[in-house]
Amino acid sequence: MDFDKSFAIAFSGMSAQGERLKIIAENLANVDSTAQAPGGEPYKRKLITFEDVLDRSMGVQKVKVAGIKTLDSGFGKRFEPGHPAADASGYVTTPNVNSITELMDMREAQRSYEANLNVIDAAKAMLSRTIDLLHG
Amino acid sequence: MAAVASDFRSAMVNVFLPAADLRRFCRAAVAALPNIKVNGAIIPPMDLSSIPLFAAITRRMGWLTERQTVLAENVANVNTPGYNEKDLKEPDFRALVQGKTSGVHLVATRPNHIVAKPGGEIDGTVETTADRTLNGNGVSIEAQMMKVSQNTADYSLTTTLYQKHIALIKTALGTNGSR
Repeated sequence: MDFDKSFAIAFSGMSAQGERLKIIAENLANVDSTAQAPGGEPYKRKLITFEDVLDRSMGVQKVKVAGIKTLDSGFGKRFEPGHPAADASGYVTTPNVNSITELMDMREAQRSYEANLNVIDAAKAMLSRTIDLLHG
Repeated sequence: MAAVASDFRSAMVNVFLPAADLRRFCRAAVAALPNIKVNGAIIPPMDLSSIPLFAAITRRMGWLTERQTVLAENVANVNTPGYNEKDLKEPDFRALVQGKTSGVHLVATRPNHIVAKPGGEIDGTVETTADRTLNGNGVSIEAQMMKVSQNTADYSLTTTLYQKHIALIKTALGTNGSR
């Protein structure tokens, strides 16, 4: 059955988007995680990338997570002299996470997940139409 | 989710014979029928796949299934950098229905001959030119959703057509649709 392939591809897409959502959740949860001592590094934003990968047993291109990389630039600074990580002039380095960007990314992940679900629905509908042929 | 998916998949594989096996089985069943003679002439049994319309419907269903696979690939890779959307070329179904395509096929006379599968005439994928995003991805999710729903509707139409023509043959046989 070739619908197998459609299902398998859509599932690979769903698990990739699920992984993406996990990274977004990590970023959002750590939006205020700073270092604990002066000169230490705050939480660094993580970025997930995807790549298409050929499934040789089925001859189709699935999707998989290519890698998760941490971004080293774009940290913010906040004036907070009493903070344990504050430097000599009273500034704390804050994570390079922008919650608005993360929320937008999250919405995109959600939409892509739904698109994959739609494909499964469509393939399922086609399959059940085929089964209906048996009913004459 | 993945466990459910693989269970579902293996259940599907068990329930449905692949189309090729089914066709082979039908041919064998037809070949096993005793010859019917009328006035000394042998009347061959009816073979649905020799009717151009049914052959075309089978091909069309195969093509739509294959297209669903390609569309699923596009949707799954909607965030993959450098990936461009693909689509299947549409064969000339009109000629197929009218029985105009040549019936010439490669024949295997030795076990190590390579024969194209029945669905092997499906044309290759076409990369469509869509606007690419900054990361080089060219998949338009809206267009893909449109194509998926159109594909489902086409499939539905094809199976309905099949049922209607079977009903037509049954009417001609005088069984009035009952078995």
